[in-house]
Amino acid sequence: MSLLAQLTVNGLIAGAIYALVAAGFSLIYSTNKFMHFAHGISVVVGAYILYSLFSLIGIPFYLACILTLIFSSLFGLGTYRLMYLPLQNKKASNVVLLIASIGVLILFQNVIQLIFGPDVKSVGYIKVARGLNVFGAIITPLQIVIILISITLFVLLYLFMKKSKLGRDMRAVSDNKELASIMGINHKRIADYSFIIGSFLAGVAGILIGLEQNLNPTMGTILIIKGFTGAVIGGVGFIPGAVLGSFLLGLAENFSIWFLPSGYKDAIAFVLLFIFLLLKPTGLFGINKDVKK
Amino acid sequence: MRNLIISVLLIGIFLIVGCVQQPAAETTEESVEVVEAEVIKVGFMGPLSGDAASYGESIKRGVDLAMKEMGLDNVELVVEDSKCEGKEAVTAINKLISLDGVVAIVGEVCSGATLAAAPIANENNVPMVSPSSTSPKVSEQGEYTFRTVPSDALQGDFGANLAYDRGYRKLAVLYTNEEYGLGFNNVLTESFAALGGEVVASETFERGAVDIRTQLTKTKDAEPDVIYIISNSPDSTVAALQQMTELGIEAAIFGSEGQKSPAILEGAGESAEGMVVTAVSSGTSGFIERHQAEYGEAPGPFAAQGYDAFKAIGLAVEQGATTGEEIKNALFGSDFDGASGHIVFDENGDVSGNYDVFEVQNGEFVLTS
Repeated sequence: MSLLAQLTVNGLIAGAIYALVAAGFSLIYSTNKFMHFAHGISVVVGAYILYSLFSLIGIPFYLACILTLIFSSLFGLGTYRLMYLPLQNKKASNVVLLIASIGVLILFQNVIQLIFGPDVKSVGYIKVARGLNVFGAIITPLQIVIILISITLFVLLYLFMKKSKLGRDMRAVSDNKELASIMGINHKRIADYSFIIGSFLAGVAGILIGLEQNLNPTMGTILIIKGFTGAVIGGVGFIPGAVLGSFLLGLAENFSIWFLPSGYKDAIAFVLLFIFLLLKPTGLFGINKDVKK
Repeated sequence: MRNLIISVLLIGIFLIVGCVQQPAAETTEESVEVVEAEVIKVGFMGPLSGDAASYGESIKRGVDLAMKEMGLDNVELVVEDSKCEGKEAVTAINKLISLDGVVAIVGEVCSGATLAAAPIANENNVPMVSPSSTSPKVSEQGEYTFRTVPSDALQGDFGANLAYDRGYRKLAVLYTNEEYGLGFNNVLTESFAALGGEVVASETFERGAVDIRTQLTKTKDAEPDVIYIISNSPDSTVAALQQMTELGIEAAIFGSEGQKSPAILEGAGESAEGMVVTAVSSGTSGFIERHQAEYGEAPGPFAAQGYDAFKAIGLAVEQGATTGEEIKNALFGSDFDGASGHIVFDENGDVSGNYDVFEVQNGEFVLTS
């Protein structure tokens, strides 16, 4: 086993997982301009729905996945319609929305713990076995799938935002909500779509992360922190950038503890977050909005 | 006229108050024994949410069982969730002491949280009896800190000897980056080196981390013949075991007592096969039966120690101790057969202990010695 190859693969796996979370988070942020930290819990809800449907009830795996994606999308839409929208109608500031989203994260963490208990749960669809040897590094088939899906997401989201009508509308709302409204774009409808698509991505993340990392009620917090960091590095309003930023974060974390003591792994992520927030808050691939104004 | 009305009203009020007070005074006189049996509050603090919650819940069952069996009508248990974190533990103990007025505490569960809370217990003369904090540092926390679980100064040494005796010479350690992991790692690596073995890697991870691949990659590169996992997060242990399988690590696996948890067997499945765990007593056969009868399950990690922690405090209260200081003094005189063995606290509030060795065979912990 070559150490360099294995560390690269480890970094790519970690990055792909962060990217799955970052993509949906960034999509919702870019359209709505507030931090939907409850996105972390959307991922966890997705994972637990898959666990309930497949492992507890025994619904066939692929059907369970489809149902999970539908539930996740509805869950995201629900958080927007039942919480953010009423708050926005009361002219709540983005800080209030941010705090509300953290509240939802904590609330559902506890609800999940009440229902399923605090123990680690595993979906058990894929048997844990020694991985495949690819260029001297060991990687499991599931991990290859996770990396491929992350890269596909990157391409699809890029095309979606650039080419589709909905993507163009989203960018318009993102740039200037009032102007977009004048042009006949219903920004509430666009917000609905952003939550549906963003939470659909959370469902994808929930399924894959649930299979890869097992489930526990508190996993959402660390996932959203890493996803958020990845999104900031890549450029929080620019969705494909968030995916690339996540891969960079995963690689940086794993390469740095090659020569640093391994206790510094999370510290590296936060140091990167601070550096980017201080020096380049728009991220590597973000657009400087001030210039546009 | 107005004065008259006010006077009548005042007299009326005095009369009413007088009437109300009269019977009240009588009851206090009548129930002198009840005063003696004034409610004594005992606190419980441990993780009931977060990644270590399974330990907290298992211990709480032991505590509840002890409370039920002792049948102390005058003792009330006040429960606080400290999430196994230092800052939460400080908040919890402050609330228990200042707001609830507890005179003794069962807890904390994790070593880091116990160390954070211990100074406050000392300052307020409230004894803490931890069922599971094994860091060697807990011994030095003053006369109000007790524990019904032996120190890792003993377990680390025991584990090192066990690995060495089984013929392993190249040890790698994988430990959590907090008090428990650090303390255990120090004792283990020093003892193993003193025996003549070589410590080839010592990697750490954050409690609750589920991506331990790079630490394992480095460990694999160091070619150990045995890997010792020191963790108080079942999630992390499950992840580490599965990732060892995925990375094709073939070294023998040893685990500290925190690994003897059904959650780990359930989560890790076949990856846990063959793991050797050194563990403190999971309870006498009598305790295991009673636990089974009460909850329909065998005791979880540290349930027996939780039982004993409450029993030590309960016995002190039975002997008439009502304040924190009296309970502390009574604890130093404790001498009883508990669920985890014979309980006698030494001058540091520690118990001596023996360890059992378990091996995971066909998805179960099997006692090997």
